[in-house]
Amino acid sequence: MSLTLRSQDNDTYKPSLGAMTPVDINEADFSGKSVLERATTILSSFAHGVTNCTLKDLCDRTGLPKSTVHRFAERLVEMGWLERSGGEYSIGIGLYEIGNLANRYYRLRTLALPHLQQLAVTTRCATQLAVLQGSEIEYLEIIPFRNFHPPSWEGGRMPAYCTALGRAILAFSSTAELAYALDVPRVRRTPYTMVTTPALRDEFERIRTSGMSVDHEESFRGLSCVAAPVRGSGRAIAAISACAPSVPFPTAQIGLQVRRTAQAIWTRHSCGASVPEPRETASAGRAGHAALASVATRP
Amino acid sequence: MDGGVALISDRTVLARAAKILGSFSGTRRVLSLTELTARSSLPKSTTHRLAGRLVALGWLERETDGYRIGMRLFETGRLSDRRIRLRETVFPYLQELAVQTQQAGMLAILAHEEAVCIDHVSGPNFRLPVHNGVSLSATRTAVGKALLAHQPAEVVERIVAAERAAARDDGPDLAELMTELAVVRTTGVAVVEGTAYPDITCVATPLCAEGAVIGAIALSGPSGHIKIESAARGIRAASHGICADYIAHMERAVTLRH
Repeated sequence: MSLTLRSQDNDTYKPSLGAMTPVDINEADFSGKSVLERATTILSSFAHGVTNCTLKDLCDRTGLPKSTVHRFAERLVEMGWLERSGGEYSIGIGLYEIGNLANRYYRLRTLALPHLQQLAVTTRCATQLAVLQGSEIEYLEIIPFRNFHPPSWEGGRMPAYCTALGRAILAFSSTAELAYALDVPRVRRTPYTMVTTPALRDEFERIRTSGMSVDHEESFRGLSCVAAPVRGSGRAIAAISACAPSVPFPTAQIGLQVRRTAQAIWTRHSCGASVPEPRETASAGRAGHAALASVATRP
Repeated sequence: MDGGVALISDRTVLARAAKILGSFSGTRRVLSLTELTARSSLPKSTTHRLAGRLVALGWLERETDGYRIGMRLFETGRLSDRRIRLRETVFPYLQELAVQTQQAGMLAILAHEEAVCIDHVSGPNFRLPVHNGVSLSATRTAVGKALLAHQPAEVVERIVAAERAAARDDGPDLAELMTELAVVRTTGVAVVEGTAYPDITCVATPLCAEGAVIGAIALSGPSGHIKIESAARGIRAASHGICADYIAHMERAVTLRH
């Protein structure tokens, strides 16, 4: 049987091919790059500050031919993984929905969220939850306060050494984790950034004594942050912080609230508190992954 | 290069990947290969191969007893511009409403026939039993009704048909819903008392900007504790503020771009 091969990169796509019985083959064999890789490349064009992309932007950022990008992008729109508004594409709500199910920190995120919201209101600061990923911290949740939103973003990363969140976790990490996290070029992001190993070691000692970590304009000018580790008697599993413009920033007062909240989150997390599990019922949501049991919360 | 096999279309591959990722839910966040096969209705070999690919790309992660959605998807999903933009405008209002009323606030949008919770704010004593990103019935919940109120009749019909097909004998009634939506259009609010979730009353209002519904906000609380009229007044006032802010924001964005 002779079959004309459809190149992935030209416009002579014949939909009739799809009507043939699809033979389950490795789709990467023909093009070198698989369909999933191309879709991934396109989705990876989006980043913090680059949440809208025109077709041309996508071509520039992926290096893929226009016809391919167009075909893939339109398909991803149909699937709800991308959205198109005017001439611009952005990440679709469909991906936001699926992404929220990421299991690795699901319980931590879900249990922490109401505490972070409460903390934002009581401290009048934006609040954040982050975990350590190698030498960086990853922000899992960020709660703005009124119109103040910190320069961080959910799913985004910052070096651990220069953030209050990172240092709160590192102060209660293993020697190996600490060594790994500090084994990076330490950049003076502001005139106040602590970069030398002795200074950081002293800082970790202070954090272990006080139970909280402070960053005054070390990662961003004009911004202060107080963090506390989420931990019991062992290593920190995460950290939470409150941050706000540096003046005025009542560090001690805010720090106390942050520590209490971190403790409350740890207690909920370690006592095996269940997260409000959505109950699957036919009536709630076509996809069936909605509907919820009523949850009593602690005052 | 002449292949002796039919080339599998990219459409098929993506649809299959979507089936695999769509197999996960709030209650089923880890799935074994067998479960993944059953829930995606794909052949086991296909599921195994595709799941392996998705793991290699970071969309899925392996767990001792199966697969889970990967952090890469979490990170990508949070880049949704629609969510970022709406949240920026709406969150301060929800926060304020939750503080003032002690109830829980929610922001939802209509996406592929469901109301998707984009963000929610817990009250000090009341936590809404939803997760961010959860999809709710557009016909049963107050936010859903607020979102549907200004939709063309055919959209409402399509959603009702889809929900009826999913729910079999327990689907929503179109005529009844149309009457309710007319009330929402007149009063500006949708009220659902205990029928979507037992003992929870929810009051919602659509957010309209430039002739389109961009989302809906809601206040919810335990039935009997939430004062419907004042909640309605609160969210209506907030919706006016939000829409003004949203339009100003969009205009600013357009000016910046030019």
